[in-house]
Amino acid sequence: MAKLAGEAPLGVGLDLGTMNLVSARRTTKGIETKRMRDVFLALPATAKKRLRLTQTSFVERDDEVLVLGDAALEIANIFGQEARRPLSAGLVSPNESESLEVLALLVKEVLGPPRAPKEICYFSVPASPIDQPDRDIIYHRGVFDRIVEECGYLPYASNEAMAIIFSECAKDAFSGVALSFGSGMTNVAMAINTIEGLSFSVARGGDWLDRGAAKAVGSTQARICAVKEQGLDLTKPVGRDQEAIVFYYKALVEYALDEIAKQFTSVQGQFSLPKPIPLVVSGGTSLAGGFMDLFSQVFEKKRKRFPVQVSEIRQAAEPLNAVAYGMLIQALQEGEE
Amino acid sequence: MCPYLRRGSRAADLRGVEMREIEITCLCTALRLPDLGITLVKGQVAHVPLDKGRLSKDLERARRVGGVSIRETQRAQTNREGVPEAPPPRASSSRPVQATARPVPAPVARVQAPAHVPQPAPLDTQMITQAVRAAVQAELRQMFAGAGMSAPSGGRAPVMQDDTPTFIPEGMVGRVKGSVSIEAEETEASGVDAASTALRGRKKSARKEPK
Repeated sequence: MAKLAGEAPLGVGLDLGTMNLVSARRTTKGIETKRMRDVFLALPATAKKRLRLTQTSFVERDDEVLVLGDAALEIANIFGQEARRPLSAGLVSPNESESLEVLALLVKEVLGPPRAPKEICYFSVPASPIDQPDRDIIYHRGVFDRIVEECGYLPYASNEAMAIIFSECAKDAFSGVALSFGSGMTNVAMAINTIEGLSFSVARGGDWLDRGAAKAVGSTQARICAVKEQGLDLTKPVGRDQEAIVFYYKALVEYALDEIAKQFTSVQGQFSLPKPIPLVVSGGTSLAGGFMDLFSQVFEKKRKRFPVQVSEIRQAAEPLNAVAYGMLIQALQEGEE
Repeated sequence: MCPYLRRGSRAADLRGVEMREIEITCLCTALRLPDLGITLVKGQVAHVPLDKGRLSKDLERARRVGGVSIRETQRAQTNREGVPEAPPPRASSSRPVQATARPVPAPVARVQAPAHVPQPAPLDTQMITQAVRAAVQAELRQMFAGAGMSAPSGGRAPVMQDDTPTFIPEGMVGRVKGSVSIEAEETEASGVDAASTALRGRKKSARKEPK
């Protein structure tokens, strides 16, 4: 492994999500992860005084101040504004050029300085959404490639769902189907013995779910989010709001499984599955209480007609970190080449 | 008269066809070429008809990133009575393809060009260029539909690109001054270390396997 003398091996993994940015690196003590909410709040310079009173850290840009990360979400209500998200539905948009420099700062903070010049950094990119084929992942990848390079690293892009295969399927010879239920989209990959056989994404995730549930009950996305964060059991919803949330969770899982079946059928002739493989679920949207039970219930109804033989369904050990860990594993291997 | 044979050549006397092919040698850990229907592991060799290989965008991409080495080969096949039959298709590497349990069939690699693929006249580079351009445009329309290239730990992950230049701004980092403190969390490394060790072991086994 590439390393400095007496130090941990070099290499860092970076998960670039719509809701969270997560970095992971190997240290002498273990794995160090840093997480930051992928949001910011732009306020006029006059807000500095109030921010100092609330002991909220901020940075300055021209004649405005920017509050970054979790703090932005916390104080957005105080200022009667909505926090902005540089990524929309999993991708950075060419129309959000103003957010790029903020995004660059968020990434720089999460990554930290490289431990050596051109330290290898594997960062996650989603697969192109099959239900929104005109969405541009080339621009998205190019932006982060440039940002990571400008942070002093040697950037490598890698598929988000494949990272889960690397971090969660070692005992299965790196074979399995991985689903990453994110905020902006859901990424899927299938691999056999480290070889990616299939990967795609759908433009539905936690945000889609919140919007749908909010519309269904005449509520707001923020309120639906709050209901989720207060804690709910998807197998025992209480009240109209929770029932709507469960409805859309089921719709999301069904949609993802149906697309896996469809996409696998289209490539079935190109490779065969020697034995049943695990189905691994990850991502922040999968953290809701009872999600795995709900997922298993939905899957069981489809199992007979599902073209892939599934040995087990399990959740990633750390759903919020699995992608970053998978990126780190690849970075560590790259350093050995 | 077969267009590949020169008039008056001795070979032209034979009722046969000169098969021009591309020999593909996998240089990386593993590789899929979806538009050729080929999956290879390191050291494995496959042969495809020349025109099909030239039209393959996945092959070109793999060649560009150093995943494969390619060379044009030529084999003669005759079917005149008394003349020995052409040797059987060259078997691919005895190493099993990791991605699939089914035996690696040489015919999978040695695929005849489908009838609708235009057969360019030999040395007609303009026609070949037009055919490649048409194939690239068709490929761009189907981009990301289904299987992609493998992205094992070795080497830069191959990324699908179209030919349209994309402007990416420079100097994004550093335009906004300041910093935010982020708390780092330390967790045990056992899972990551185990996965890294397993992956390293697979690569070593792949290297040790005879060609």
